[in-house]
Amino acid sequence: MNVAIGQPIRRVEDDRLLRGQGRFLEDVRLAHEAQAVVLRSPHAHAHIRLLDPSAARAAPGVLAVLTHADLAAEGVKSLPPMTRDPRYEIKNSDGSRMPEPEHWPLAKDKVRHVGDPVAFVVAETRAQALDAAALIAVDYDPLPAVIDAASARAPGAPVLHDGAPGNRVLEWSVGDRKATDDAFAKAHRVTRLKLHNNRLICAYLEPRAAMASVTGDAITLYASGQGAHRFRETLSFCLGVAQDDVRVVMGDVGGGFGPRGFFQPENVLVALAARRLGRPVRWIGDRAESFTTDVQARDHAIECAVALDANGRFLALDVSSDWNMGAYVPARAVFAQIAHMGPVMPGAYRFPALHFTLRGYLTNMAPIYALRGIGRAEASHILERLIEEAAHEMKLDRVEIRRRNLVPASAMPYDNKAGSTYDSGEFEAIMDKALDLADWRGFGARKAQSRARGLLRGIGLCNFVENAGGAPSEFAEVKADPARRLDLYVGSGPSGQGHETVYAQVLAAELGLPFEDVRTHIGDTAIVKAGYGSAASRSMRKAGSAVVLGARIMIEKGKILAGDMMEATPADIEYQAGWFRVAGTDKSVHLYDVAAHARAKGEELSGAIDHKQPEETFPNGCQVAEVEIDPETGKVDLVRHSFVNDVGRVINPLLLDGQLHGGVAQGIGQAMTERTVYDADGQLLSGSFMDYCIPRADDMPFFATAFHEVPCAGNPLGVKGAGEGGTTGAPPAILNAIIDALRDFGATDIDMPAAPETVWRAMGARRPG
Amino acid sequence: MYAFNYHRAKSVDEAVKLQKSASEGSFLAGGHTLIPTMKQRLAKPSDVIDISGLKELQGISVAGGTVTIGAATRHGDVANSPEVKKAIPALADLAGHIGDPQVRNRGTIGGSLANNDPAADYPAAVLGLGATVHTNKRAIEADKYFKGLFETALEQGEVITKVTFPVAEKAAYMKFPNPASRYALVGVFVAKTKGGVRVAVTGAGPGVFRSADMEKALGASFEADAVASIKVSSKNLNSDIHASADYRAHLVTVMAKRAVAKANS
Ligand SMILES: Cc1cc2nc3c(=O)[nH]c(=O)nc-3n(C[C@H](O)[C@H](O)[C@H](O)COP(=O)(O)OP(=O)(O)OC[C@H]3O[C@@H](n4cnc5c(N)ncnc54)[C@H](O)[C@@H]3O)c2cc1C
Repeated sequence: MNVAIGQPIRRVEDDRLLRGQGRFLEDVRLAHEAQAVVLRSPHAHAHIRLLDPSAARAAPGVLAVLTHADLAAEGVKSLPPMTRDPRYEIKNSDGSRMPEPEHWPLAKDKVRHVGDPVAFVVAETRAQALDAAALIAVDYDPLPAVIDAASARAPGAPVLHDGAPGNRVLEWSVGDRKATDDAFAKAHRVTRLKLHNNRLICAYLEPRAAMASVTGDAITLYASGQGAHRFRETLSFCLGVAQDDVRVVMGDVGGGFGPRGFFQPENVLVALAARRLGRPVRWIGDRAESFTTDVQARDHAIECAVALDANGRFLALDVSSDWNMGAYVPARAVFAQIAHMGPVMPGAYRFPALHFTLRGYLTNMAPIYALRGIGRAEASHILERLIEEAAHEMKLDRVEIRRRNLVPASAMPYDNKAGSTYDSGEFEAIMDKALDLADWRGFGARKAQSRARGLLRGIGLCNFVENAGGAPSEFAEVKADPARRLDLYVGSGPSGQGHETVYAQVLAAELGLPFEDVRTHIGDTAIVKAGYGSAASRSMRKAGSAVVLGARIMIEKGKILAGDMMEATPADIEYQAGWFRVAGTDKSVHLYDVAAHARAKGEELSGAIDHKQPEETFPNGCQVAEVEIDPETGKVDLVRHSFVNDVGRVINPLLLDGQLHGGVAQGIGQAMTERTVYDADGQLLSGSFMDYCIPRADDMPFFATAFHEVPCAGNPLGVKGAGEGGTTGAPPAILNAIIDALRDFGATDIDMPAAPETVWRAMGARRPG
Repeated sequence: MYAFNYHRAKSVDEAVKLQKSASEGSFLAGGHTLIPTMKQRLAKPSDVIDISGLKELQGISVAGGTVTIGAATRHGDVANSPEVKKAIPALADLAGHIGDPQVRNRGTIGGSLANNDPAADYPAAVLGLGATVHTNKRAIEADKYFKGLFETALEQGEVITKVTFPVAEKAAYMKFPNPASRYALVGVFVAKTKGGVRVAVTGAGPGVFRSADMEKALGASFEADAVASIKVSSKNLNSDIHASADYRAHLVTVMAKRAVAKANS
């Protein structure tokens, strides 16, 4: 099949996955495996006074019980927070460096959240390991728990890490304090809000797991993550071994969304145990462990204000957020949060002045990490809620106030005063397209119909701009095989998105060869030479670009070889759809024959590149949500959801729709159903799917999506990134719709998630019944 | 999970004997409650006695104004039964809204009643219709069967064999599902029966209960308006991360009103 960019090719991986032939971690079986379980802290905060594994070590079937003492004896290092790694370092606004709290794979002297690993038990069977874990004597001396940023910074609060006095990790600002204050002082109106961007549990389908085997010095880690090479780097760091001695294998990954990019402590533990025992060690976490010990997301207590002139034009934006970071600082978490929140704080709007401060605090909860839309979801929540209330207070039309303040396409490239220069964007055109798609004008009639059925109805919108970033470089290598196939090696792999399909599509389209010729190789450091991984909507932009550039390098090499074969100079040779041709003649050789010629000479017809492309891109869009609310119960039904997106050039509209739908679904979760609850002692109360509500198919309407392609000039494919717009734009659109429906009750704000009781309470004294 | 002995009983009598001789024997029906607790090591039966396949516990029949449902009958079978749909549509409707299709294809009425989860649906129908729970030893009236949070009148080793429901003149169930678990945050079953009006509430309190105020009001006039202004006290109701007692109390009124309207429609 000949394919082109922009063609809705179906996912090649689905046949395998739907037939149960996926190879997730639990499907990997190694000979002579030993089974491991983790003993975890039942306390949120406690000193470990005594830890005695001797009874467990003597229990039937037990092969090893590791505690922190064993890590120390083997010289294992703490997981690196990387706040001081030059690649990711951001300094506090006062110039000071951020602390690097230790994060041991097994607790040293102290536990800091429920589920913190305390001991690692390896036995012949999982049941034996569980039995033995129950025999470990641990004497905890409980400390008071800190469960939000406000109490973390209160004087006299219990301190989690000695290296982080006051539990403070960071205080970082962007913008002009004085200009912002001046603008507020002379504003016609100021609208203020206090918001909480709710803590989320990612809940990917495949629970965490890890496996390792060791032969001599060579360690193989079977892991589930978002980039094999990053994990190799971290494991070699923690164990103090050469990267060449570590191989990381990632098969199919059952959902990533960001949190799977975190290098979990168990990766170190399986490797250490396998090295010690000389046999493979397997750890498969269960869902309960996922709830308490997966890295979580968001959790910002926000104060924000917008200053406006008499015409509703924005004069300034002032935002501060206290970020509840949980018990540890995972690698790159600070970088990801700051880099994706500050620089897009003004979104699609013009603010002559702005200021944003982010303060981060440690608490006795699961650590926070990047989750789909990190930073941008918080920024759009802030902006679009503020704008909505400002319009209401000033009695301005909600669309009109946005229109007056959007950055016009003519202003591109646009410096947003928060550290970003938007290369392109047609925000107003996109908003208008979305309003049409949503039939904004027909809303009144639909509202009347709802009213006739005793229901409230509301509509809301959200314009957003994201910055798709991620590590600067990504690797791809293309090899032509004389057996008439193309082998493609890429450093960034999928956790469900369909990379195998789109990489092959990009390569086949670039070379003009059949799609079926491409074999994509991903996720094994022994096969793929380099790589970073998926994060920040970067794979198509960076890895996709590397695929194109790798193919072009291969073609240039091919011209030399073809010139050799046809006795022509490479400069005279053209390449098209598989054929190298001497220009102006009928002399040609096929790419695969050139590959055979190369092979005969002991060479390869291939092209590899570790493509560096540090610029960010700015995917953007507009979402419109429409809800119906049962006024007697507060139950919200999302009845329509429309979404127009500029992701740059569209590679595969079918897979893109999948990304958009999935992203919106996750945004619906944050806006309407997902509530992470810890009690005052730091116990997780929403610790199962019976208590933590992930939205289901029947919570969703059919989505209406449309594209508005404004190709990005910064990469050969013209793509901007598609993974996170859904999650970024959906929550504020939904909240604004709910508040619109509740205006008659005097509601001016609503917490996420807008669960039935929350909505019922927001109706206040005027609610029925 | 801990290791256990598995037995497939050939009769109720044998199941009872096996249970008695075990140091800690558990009956297994649909397993949708028992197996998860075993997996989490919260339950540690020495012996699991599978009664799910017993012929004498299966089946649905309607005769003489009574619907009889064998204890091992699955929710899905009740929901889809033409006989039940005809005799007591509210009962089929209730069964059709338990959990999701997977749950309905495994879970059984006997398991649900033996477990008596405070948010389960069947207890509302059993109490609301004034049904009778039959065991290998005796027949227990609904009013004497439910004893609060996960407690019932069942004794050690007693097996529910069937449940008999008197056909009501009118009946309906309204459930406000917990968005996460889809169990009842509040569920109200109303029935106009030969012996009078019955209103049973599940999900709201520590166990299913009847509302005397509502029964009285509906006895006088079986109309939605009759209960619309009856407020239920939140004093003994559940308060948890999903809903406060006040909100649950409010929902009892709303669901009762809607159930009456549905029964009348
Ligand atoms: C995801 C999920 C969602 C659910 N949603 C709902 C819901 O919305 N509404 C609802 O009402 N329920 C719900 N349930 C519960 C389900 O409907 C089952 O009814 C319930 O789990 C018990 O039935 P079972 O047959 O599976 O019992 P088991 O798990 O097999 O047994 C439960 C207990 O009852 C005992 N037992 C079983 N049968 C008998 C008998 N005949 N005599 C004496 N003792 C017996 C067992 O020994 C055990 O102690 C849900 C369950 C799950 C897993």
